[in-house]
Amino acid sequence: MSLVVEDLRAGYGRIEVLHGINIEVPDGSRIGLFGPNGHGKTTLLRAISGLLQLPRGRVRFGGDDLTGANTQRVVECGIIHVPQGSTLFPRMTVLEALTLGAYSPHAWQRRRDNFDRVFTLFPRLSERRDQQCRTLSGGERQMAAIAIGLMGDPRLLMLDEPTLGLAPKVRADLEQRIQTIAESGVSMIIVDQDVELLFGLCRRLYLIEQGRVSLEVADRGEVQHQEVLRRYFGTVSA
Amino acid sequence: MSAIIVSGLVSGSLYALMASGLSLVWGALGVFNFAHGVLLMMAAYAAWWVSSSSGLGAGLAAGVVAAVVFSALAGALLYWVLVRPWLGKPDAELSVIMTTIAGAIFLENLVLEVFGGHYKELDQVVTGTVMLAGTTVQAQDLMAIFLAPALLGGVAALLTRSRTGLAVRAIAQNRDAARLLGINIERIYLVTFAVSAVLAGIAGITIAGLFSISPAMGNDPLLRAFVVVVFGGLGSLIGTIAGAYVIGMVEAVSSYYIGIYWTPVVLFLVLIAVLTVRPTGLMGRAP
Repeated sequence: MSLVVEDLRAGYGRIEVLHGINIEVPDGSRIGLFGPNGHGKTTLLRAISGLLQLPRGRVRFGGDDLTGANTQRVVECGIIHVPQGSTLFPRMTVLEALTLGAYSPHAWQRRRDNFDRVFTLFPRLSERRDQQCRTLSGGERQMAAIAIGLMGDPRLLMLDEPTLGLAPKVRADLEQRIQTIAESGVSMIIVDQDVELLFGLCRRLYLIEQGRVSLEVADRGEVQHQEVLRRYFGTVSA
Repeated sequence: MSAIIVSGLVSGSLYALMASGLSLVWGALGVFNFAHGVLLMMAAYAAWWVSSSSGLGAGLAAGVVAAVVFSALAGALLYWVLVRPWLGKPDAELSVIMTTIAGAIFLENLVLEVFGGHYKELDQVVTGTVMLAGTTVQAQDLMAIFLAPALLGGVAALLTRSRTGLAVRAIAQNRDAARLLGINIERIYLVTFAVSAVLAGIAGITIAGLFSISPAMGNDPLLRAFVVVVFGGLGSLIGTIAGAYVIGMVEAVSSYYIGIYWTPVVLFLVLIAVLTVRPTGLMGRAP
């Protein structure tokens, strides 16, 4: 099941934010999105997951045309979007929030297996299962957010800034877990400001600027690495 | 003394049934349903019409069942007609206040037109009296005292254990994140309205047995329910239930010692005092 996005245009009300985006996520692979804030990375994820009204262009996942589909249909097809801002449900216990993650019918049937999978991946969440989500630490909240996504039994997982605001050690730990999820065959779109992290996790990177893909990086050759840093930060410091 | 306590508990139970429905809807949809009192009234009329010999004459049991089913349908229909078209639009909160007030006035007058202004009587679900702690208590009062906690306990259990109940709470806490889990928000809104209407309907059937049925019978409980919801803290079901019993007790004590005419004054003084110390209500959260 590969995701193909063609000439996607979407926005909020009359304001168009995405001016024709083309990206592709081959089955079982990871792509990374980076670029300045406010240029459309999150909007792209929201358009794919059906949160935006009337997008134009095309979104296909495997054989399904998901252009303009509602969130339920997108989730039922196996595309799970873990939104930015990690405290999803502050006044729920970790266990309740994870249970909710399996809300869609096909995930609900597989929730026992997925609980095992999630608690094996994040033993810390198992210890915290009866705690309210708002009492978790920053790293634990992010783990919970990703775990809720995994409970949805994803074929394609979209993570929006999973390491935002985390300490380097916590971040490295989380990167390891994301790697583990990827190795289980789940396709991923990862949005992050940390280009190094994306290079570590993804096969292909897209720089999103002003609602368009302004650069596509297919392998992590040093030349292109330099190019990315130059375009992204303006200069490459020695 | 125990008569005051019983009276406080009965009012508290009825307010809890009324106010928790209002609170559920507020939590999930972020709107206030001003037609909530009319739902209570219409359930009482439905029970009367089906059970009374002036209506279908099908007996009280059939009347109660019919009224509960009617409430669920009426709640769903009310949501569909008066609330849904305005959700997601700018100032939905205000629009829904207007539409539900308009709907309430319309329905109240419709009932007046159809059934007339004469008060109706509904048989009590349980009859007779019970001696309790030296006081004679109507069995119907006792039923109200036990029914409300049982029903609300059931609602609380659904909210923490069932898939749909968890979805109601998820929507109240983070609407977009809830949608991203594949939750059909519209369906959950509909269910929330139906459940809220059933709670109001059961309060209506109970009140109908204790007092009498008239087109305006829902107005006073609605006002009390608003006081309770604000008093207990917006968005907190536990706060709402606790608030209902506190208000019920204050009312009972005040009616006995100060008199029924000054009771609303006492009630609002207590409300003002609590909101001065705790602006978000007993158990409300800072917005």
